[in-house]
Amino acid sequence: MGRKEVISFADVYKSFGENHVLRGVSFEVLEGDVHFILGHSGAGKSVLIKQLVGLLAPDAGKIVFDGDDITTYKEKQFTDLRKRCQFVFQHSTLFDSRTVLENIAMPIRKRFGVEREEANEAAIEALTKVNAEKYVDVLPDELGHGLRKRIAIARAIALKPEVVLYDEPTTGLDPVNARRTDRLIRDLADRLKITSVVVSHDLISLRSIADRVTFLNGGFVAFEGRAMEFVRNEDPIIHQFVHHAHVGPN
Amino acid sequence: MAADTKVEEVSTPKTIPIVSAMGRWTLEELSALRTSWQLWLSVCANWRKIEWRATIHQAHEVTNRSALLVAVVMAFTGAILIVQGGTQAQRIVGDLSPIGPAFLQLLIREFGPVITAFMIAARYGAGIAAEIGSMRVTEQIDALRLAGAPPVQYLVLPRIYGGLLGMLPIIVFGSVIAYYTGAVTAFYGFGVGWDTYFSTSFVKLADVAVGVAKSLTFGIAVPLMSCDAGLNARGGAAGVGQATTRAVIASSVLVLFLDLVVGTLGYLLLG
Repeated sequence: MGRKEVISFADVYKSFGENHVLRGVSFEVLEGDVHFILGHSGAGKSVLIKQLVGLLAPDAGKIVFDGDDITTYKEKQFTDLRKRCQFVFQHSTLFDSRTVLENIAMPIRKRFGVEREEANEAAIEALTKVNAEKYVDVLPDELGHGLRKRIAIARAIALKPEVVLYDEPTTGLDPVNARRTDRLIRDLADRLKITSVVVSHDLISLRSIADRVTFLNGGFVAFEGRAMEFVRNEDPIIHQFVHHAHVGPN
Repeated sequence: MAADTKVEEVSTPKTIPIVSAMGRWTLEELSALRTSWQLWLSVCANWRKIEWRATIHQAHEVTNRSALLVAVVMAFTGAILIVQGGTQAQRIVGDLSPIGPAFLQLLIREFGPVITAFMIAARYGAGIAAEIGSMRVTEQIDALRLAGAPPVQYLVLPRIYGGLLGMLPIIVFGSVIAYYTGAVTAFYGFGVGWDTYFSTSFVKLADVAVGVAKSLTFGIAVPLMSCDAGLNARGGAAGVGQATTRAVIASSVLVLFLDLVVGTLGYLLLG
């Protein structure tokens, strides 16, 4: 028996003025997968996943989350969805004026309505999962990019989501921290059974942790399938992307 | 005919850009008014959700952290107004005895609230817009929404309640400073005696009521417009800069507008 579809995009369109970013994008994400969305800068990868949590609305098409059509959801309806689907932003977006512990405990208190003590315990548990428990009293500004990213991931998983959306998780990290972040995403997917959608153009990440890939080009899905099929694909556009060629169709 | 054609050729390109620029500006301002109004409605809908710790922190920002700036500005304001008022009074009526009571009445009813509110808009309002604007452009506002902490409840309401709590004390503080520097100026500059200056004979309860009403409305207006500017910041550092400028301008204009409305209502209803 096949795994169920957790997320489905059907013929999704999105424009910003005259810039038509998505021109009928359709694909599905299966439960438990680490699903990569690849594409050149400005291909609409982040736009796509922001639509899933209500940060942007599609112009046309249909987005389904676990069987529910969320295309026309209002802000209040997204509040429930966001309990199940968390987002790790490209720039970590930790709250600068709060310590690492408060950064994670505050959303726990808001989300589950628990007391401060209980939220702090849950926050430390989440920090332990990303090996950052010793930074509880530190302000985010005092940390490096890699650690900030791990803490942002801890904040997401502390809310016990079924799906985590990662927006360029390895961008701006040194190679060692980038690979650590990859491992963390894969481990969390395997250990906590989290479905992961990763927006990236990091092919090393793709090769090491991806199950499936959707490749966007010119507002359309140019490839959808398994990660290894993608890197071996001979389509000129994909070949150019995979081999970082400066000459080619794009 | 040829001359007409020439006039048309010269005037058309100049007129259309001006008209279109005015049209664009009007549409942008109407759109900005709409977002401010929507934010106000959202604030009204969530007014019970008070974050006390954040509110106290914001009230501290309005009062204690702004005290030095307000003290300096109001000290000069008091002295300048007495110099100008005293000189005019000497020239026109020759009697300086009402200068203290009249200044106190004006200070309570008009100058104290308005000038202090301008200072708070420049310091506190600009700070709000820069902080929230930075959060906006670095996606921290989106992160808050996803963390289940709505920005209105978490960021806007504490600042509005902080403004509401802090504006009256800082206006009273600023007015007292201005009144006393005015006293020193009147005494040494014009020879007005202390007892004459410190008379409260002109001040009525209506003046105090209007002063308090203005303080409270300004306490809401400045943070509201500043939060709105921050929440609508776009782009990077330049967008945050524009939001900060917009916050100070919009807050100051709204303070003047509310000053007119509350002041007029005060005279109509209370005398």
